[in-house]
Amino acid sequence: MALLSVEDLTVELQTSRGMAAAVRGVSFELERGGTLGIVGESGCGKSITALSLLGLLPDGARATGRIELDGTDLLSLDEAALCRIRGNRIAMIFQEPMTSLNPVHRIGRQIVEPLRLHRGLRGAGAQEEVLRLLDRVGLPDPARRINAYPHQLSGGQRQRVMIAIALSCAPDILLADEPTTALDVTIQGQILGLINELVEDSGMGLILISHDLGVIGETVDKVAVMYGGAVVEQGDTDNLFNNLAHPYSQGLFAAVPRPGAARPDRLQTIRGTVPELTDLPPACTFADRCAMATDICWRQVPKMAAIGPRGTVHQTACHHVEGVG
Amino acid sequence: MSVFLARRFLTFLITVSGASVIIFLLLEVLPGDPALTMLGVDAPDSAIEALRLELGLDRPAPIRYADWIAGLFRGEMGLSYVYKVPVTELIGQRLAVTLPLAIGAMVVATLAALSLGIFAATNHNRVGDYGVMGFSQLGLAIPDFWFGILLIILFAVILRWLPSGGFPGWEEGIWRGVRSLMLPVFTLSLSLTAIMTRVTRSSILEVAREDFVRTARAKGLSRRAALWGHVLRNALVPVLTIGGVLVSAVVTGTLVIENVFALPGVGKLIFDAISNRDLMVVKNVVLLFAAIVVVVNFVVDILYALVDPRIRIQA
Repeated sequence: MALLSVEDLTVELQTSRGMAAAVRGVSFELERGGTLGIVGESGCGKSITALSLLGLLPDGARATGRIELDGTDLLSLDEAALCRIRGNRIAMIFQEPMTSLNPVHRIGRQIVEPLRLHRGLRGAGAQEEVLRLLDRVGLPDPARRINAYPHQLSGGQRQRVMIAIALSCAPDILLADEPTTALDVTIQGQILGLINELVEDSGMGLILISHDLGVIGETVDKVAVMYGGAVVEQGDTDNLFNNLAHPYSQGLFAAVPRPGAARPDRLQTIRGTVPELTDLPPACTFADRCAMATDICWRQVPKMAAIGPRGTVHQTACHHVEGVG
Repeated sequence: MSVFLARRFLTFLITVSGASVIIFLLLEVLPGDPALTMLGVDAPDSAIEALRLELGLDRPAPIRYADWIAGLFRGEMGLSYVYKVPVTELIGQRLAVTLPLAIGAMVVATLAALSLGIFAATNHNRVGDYGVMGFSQLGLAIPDFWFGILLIILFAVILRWLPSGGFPGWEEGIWRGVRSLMLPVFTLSLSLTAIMTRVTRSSILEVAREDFVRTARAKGLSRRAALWGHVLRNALVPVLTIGGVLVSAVVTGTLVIENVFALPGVGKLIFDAISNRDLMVVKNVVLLFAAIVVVVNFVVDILYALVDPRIRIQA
């Protein structure tokens, strides 16, 4: 059985124009120790998907479907039970290391919190563990940094602290929501390398959310491409990257500039812009921007279907892609 | 730190000197001759002239200003024209009433505002929130003096629990003094509570949306634990700011409240002094008020640095 199994997850958010579905029937699985990347533009529902795994959706949001962690449906748990899972079995790191740490508390205190909460560590034992964690995430001079305030650290160092917090209770799953987006390019590589290394060493599962295809390609075994709240294509990373099937995935990849490639006059783009949640097409959410769209795309929600050669894992939801023979 | 203090002290001196010049000039142009007011319009010119001489009013303004300031450095504020006692002594006696009143009002308002603000924020958009906001709206709308009169009617006249006004003096016993200050303190704290409650509530709501609060929740902290452990301290900064500003409102508020409750405090002192053209008292009390406001701002700056480590005490 998969460690995490998300089935037909739909999340509706309160907007000024009523409830709008930010996530529409998303399903995926994560094996113990597996790595999954979720790719898509901003607003495609990837962060909301991650937050719903923690039960930390914005006020007024409504999630339906199933999110099973080791067979327990997280959506049916009460707040207290979710608190025991958050930071303990599922931990998360966020995009903005600059604002994700409390500015008025010392680093040490912020790392101790989950240790005390989930592992009952206090005093010298907790202190020792904090030092070990800071050392593990490669923060130089942990003994001094433990008393630093977040504003005294650089962006990369803060993200290391965030990772130390996430790591503190040896979670089964690490959710990383654009963990390197706000960082300098050189630091991005270091942080990504650290996450990779930690995942390999500890055997925890990783869900990496990014709009950066390069980051995804280097890091994860499986990829899900999201558009308009729905997963439009998913599969093994190599398979998917080599045989892009869904028109949106193709557009997304074509829009990445390639250094060295013969330079076209213009960078390729996907025509149109991402519509507001409430304005998404009713059936296939990509219909209004898709060059291949026909009548059926506006009438019928495309089903996820396996494609590609037998023995490979690759699925897409498009009326215009031929299924496997 | 010592550089910071030295600098702050310099700022204090400059601000207070500026205030002293303004106060002095304003009183110079104020119509009404103290000697004439004290003796009455029927007094003979010779008597008035003699009194002017006695009060030193015949000397040129710059000399009188210099005298005043030099006196302050010696810890003297001169003699009250009316009471013929040192102004320092007058202020000292009156502060025994005004300080407990002002500090009491600040403490009551802060405690009430923090509790109500937290309660409203945690019940955002629910009945409790609307109730607190309604109360705060009312508190802002009701004039202090009128609220004071209502309290007198209820607690002094109808229920007879508390005295309607006056102050027996601390030598009559702490409890009697406290009893006579209760209604004034509540009256003075009403509008302060109303304002600070709003600031506390909106500040908490704003901080609760910050990324680091989401981090705290992602660690497994409950909503309540995140509020107490992460939101509150960050939310305090705007409350401190407004609290500092409100101290000046308290200082001027005592003037009204002490008149409503017939309390022999500094506010009453300056009110009477202005009516009697007791300029020696007026200028010193006003300067004292100015100094208090500057000192409070200084204290607020230090509190900022204690609450938020990003705010460094700048040398």
